[in-house]
Amino acid sequence: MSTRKKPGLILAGALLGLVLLPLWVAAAALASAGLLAGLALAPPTPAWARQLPRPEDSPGLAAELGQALGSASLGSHLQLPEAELNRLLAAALRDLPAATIQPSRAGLRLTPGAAELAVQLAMAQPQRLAAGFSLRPLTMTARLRLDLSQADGSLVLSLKGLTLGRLPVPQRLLTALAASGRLPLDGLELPEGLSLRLDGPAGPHLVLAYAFADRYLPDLVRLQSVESVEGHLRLGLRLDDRLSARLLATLSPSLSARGGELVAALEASAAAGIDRASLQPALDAAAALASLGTGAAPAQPSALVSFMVNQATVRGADGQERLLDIGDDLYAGSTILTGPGASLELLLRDGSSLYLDENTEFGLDSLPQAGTTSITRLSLVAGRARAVIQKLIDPQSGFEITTGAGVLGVRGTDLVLSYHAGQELTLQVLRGSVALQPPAGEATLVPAGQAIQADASQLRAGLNLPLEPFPLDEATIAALNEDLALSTRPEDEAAIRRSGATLAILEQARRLAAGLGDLDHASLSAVGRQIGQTVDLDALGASLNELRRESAFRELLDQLGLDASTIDQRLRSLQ
Amino acid sequence: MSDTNMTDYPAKAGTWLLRLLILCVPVANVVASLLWGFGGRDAVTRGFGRAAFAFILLASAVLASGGLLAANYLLSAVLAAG
Repeated sequence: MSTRKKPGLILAGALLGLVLLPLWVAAAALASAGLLAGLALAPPTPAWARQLPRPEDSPGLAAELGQALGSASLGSHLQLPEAELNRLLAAALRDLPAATIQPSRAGLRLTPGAAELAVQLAMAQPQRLAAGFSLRPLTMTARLRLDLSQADGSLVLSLKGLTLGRLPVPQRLLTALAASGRLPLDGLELPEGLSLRLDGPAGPHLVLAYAFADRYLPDLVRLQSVESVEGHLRLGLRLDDRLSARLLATLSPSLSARGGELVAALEASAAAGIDRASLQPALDAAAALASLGTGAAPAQPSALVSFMVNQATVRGADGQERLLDIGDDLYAGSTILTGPGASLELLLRDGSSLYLDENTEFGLDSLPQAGTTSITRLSLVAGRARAVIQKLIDPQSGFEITTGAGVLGVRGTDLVLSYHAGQELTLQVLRGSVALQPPAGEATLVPAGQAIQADASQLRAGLNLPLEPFPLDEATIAALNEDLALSTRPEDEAAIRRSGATLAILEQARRLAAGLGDLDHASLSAVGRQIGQTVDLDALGASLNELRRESAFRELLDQLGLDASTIDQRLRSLQ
Repeated sequence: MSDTNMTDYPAKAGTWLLRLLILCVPVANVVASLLWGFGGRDAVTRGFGRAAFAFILLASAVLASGGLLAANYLLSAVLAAG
């Protein structure tokens, strides 16, 4: 080596070495810290995801579905616990065709509005090497965090996170992969009613149309909503409208008359010395049957609860509070209260719809009548509501929504109003126009696509400070339409009423049967004699026989624990 | 004597061991690899030095990428935590 070259090389090497040294130290420190943090933070597979039912132990999807539906009580909501769902998933996996990567077990953990799906993936089938030796299949548990929301007659499952074994895959990476179109989904064929979307503001998401579930449900019920609550999947079911209409037309008048006769028979039994307390459940159910309607709209103006998520209560004009259910009628003077995570939809007689968001208190002061001149007054005490109000043709009619800060006068409008006393008021107008009239001062007109917002100081000043409408951007309008989407339409009203009335009749019939079933043998014989003398069982039997010709109705009776084949025998034994 | 004739190459096992040990020392490894690679007496030393220098650069790039990934992960974990 030339002596001229040597110092230069030493200098260059030392300089480069000194530049690289901090880089090595920093990178090594970061890599070690990342590895340690990853090991410390990455959660191990939870116990529930390791103890899932095995597909090979399942009797099959049809049997599991029958058991799940049979054990659930049929109402406007059907609660399916996690254990039932996991058995259904195991049954569904059993029928999957063989593949290189096979989901061997799957299960769900449900929380309000979200679910975690664990899928155990087996990479290869066990290979037998020699007598007594075999390769265990290479397995890994993939866990998907999903958000469950409802939109446009479908359940939307948005992917919010993926964990492979102990490795959490960052959401940004999933979104970027989905957006790049590099996920191997080209060959994926989804059944009709299912669609996978990889773009959009919700990120990758699976859309499951409720109509998809119809092929797996009995003929008599239709899926209307799906929501996740703690440990349960709550299905909103509506009875098939054709069956409801037929059942109401055939059975309702007969049951209503027989209900009165049953009350008389049970009262006579109590008078004859049978313990009144043991008769009370049956008496209550019989009285309820006698008073049930035919699913027609009541004569006085009312608001129909057409859809509900979680629990909401109503406080009547008398101050009594009760839980609400789909199909309930609410009258003027009532106040509705929605709890955390709850929402409610109402259909009014004039075709208007209301959506009440969670933690909302909303008053029905005066309700509209169908096709007549009427003044409708509603009040938002606190919370957020969307109102889609039909255009008023009659100039004498009016529609007002009151808040503590002012009155909204509306005619043919789609608006979102949020109000918290003393804190804020926001009015967003999606269609039509709204005049906000403060207690004193001039009204502010808010046209379509615009909004106004008042803060605490403006509310304290009684909205006398000028409020300037500002335009709503497209993203806000899209978010409002998604968050406060109305899932029922005015034309659904009759079907919802019929479904509610039918379910109420069936529930009371079930309670009556259970109440009578709890009596001891001697009491039941005595009550049976009274019923045989007082109730026109021939008329009831004729109505039931007519309905029993329908397979869906027979299925319904079986589901309620009322075996159709023994109804005649029971009726005859009572005579 | 041909430079590529390995049987005649004078360096002994101890020399190679020393070279490998020097390559484990930060900064000194870069200096040594440059001296061997570009000022080596024979072709074997020059080839070894250039390969060692290339390896150091490659390892630095891999380590830097790993560090960046780890930093990104730590940042995400810290942001997620609070």
